[in-house]
Amino acid sequence: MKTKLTRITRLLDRSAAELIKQQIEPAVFPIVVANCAARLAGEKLYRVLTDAELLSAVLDHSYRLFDYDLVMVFADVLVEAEAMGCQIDIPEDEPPVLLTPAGNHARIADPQRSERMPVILAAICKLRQLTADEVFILGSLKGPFSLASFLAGPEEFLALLVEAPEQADHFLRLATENQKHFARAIIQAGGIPFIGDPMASGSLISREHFARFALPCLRELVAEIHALGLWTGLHICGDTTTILDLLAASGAEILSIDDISMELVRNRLGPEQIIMGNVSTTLLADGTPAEVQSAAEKCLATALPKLILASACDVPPSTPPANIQTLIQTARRWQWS
Amino acid sequence: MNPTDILDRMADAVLRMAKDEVLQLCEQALAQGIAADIALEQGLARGMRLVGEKFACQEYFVPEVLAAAKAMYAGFDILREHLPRTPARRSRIALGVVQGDIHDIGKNIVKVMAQAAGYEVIDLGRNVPIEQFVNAVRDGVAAIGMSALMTTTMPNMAKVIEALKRAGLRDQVKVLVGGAPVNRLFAEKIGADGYAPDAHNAVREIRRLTE
Repeated sequence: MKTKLTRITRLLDRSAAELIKQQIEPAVFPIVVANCAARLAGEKLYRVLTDAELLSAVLDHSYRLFDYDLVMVFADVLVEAEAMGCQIDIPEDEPPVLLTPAGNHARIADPQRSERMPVILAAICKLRQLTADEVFILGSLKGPFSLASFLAGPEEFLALLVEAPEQADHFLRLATENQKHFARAIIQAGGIPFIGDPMASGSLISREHFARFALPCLRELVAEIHALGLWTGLHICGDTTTILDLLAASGAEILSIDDISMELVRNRLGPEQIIMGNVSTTLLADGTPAEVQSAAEKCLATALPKLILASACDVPPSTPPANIQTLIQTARRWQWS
Repeated sequence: MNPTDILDRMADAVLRMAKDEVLQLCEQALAQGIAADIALEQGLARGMRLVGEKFACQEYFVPEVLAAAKAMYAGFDILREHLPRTPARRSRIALGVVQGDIHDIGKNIVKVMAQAAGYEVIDLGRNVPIEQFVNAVRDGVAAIGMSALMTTTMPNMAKVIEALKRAGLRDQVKVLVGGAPVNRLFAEKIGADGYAPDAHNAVREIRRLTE
């Protein structure tokens, strides 16, 4: 019984009309990644982010605890940047910080050898064994725009878009090439590449800049993944209201949407777009189970059938387990009226 | 060109993020005998306020603000040595990203906007220890602004307020908080005086609280 695989593949294969007719059970994935999983398993974040055995163990622990429909191997946003030459610091129990951007020393990394990229690949392999291939293992891959911003330094990079676009293009080129290699390696390890591009947010850059700098790289990366025979997803943090059509133009099958109006998202993207989202992470962390249930029900009612009910961004480590449980139960108990 | 034209063109050059033009116009302003503080206030700072307005209505985003700020600072470097010793300024404020958090783009934008509005800004930087905020208050700033991007570091804002109370300094300073995960409810809960969802409103809030 590969129920979890089916919940995802039928979203990919069938039309909205068919899914409604079949009254399918919604898929659900609270985006529990390394930081939250480490907290739930009582492990220090530093060890989890640097050790494939431990990273896979804590992700497997959360998966078994809650029983959701996808697993995402995501350590932190700086995995690829570090491998490409950025200096970072990994505190004992906080997310890593960028100390020195790679700048002119940035180079394409070897996914099998460079810094922690092999940790991600090994964790994907290990999770496939641990879960006996009953669930898709997503391998998180930074979007080229975000990766380029870490390589150049975030503020420097954003200023380059205006002052020296050709220099921004240089970093984007490097980042895109690197991510094509990494996507291939993730697929070889048995994972599904899932792109996260937090810096390409509509909260930070204009629609014009997204279209000019972020989108072409995303399209290239998605095309590479498609050429390798797989589907993919794209998550962009923050306000994406004005760029929803451009996210769809990336070609990614699944669009993971942060905390904006789901009604607007569904209207703009149409009934056939698979959407992942978007119960507020602040609500998950600070709200009551009843509030989470009500938000999740609203989300389901608005965006089904082509929806993976999910958190709006990754689940904060301080989130009470009962709230994560509620998100899943709300999907499992969903009744089509 | 008459002085008004030069000042208008300075503001416009900042708005268009045209650094070289800003430099040229600053030189020209000084050569024509325009006072440096007038050039700063009615040229550069006015341009930056226009940038702030465009940012508030989402016509400009972070890259445009950063590029405009660089143009403004470049011009400011030329005017600096010609400024009168005690320029007429608004009060002094201190800004910082709380301990554990290094996401400082938002704080830097608030800094630029506050400077453009005439405040003297002490930039405490990012990953700022609690004691450093307290020391800034001891040094007599009228307000402190704290920001955080991560839910894990937000509680440090409350710790700074507690530390100010313990040091007997809470009544001497206005406390503002901001950052992506912060909202008004949280600000009220921890006993902050003000909250703003973005840089434009942050400056309005500083003005409301300090004047």
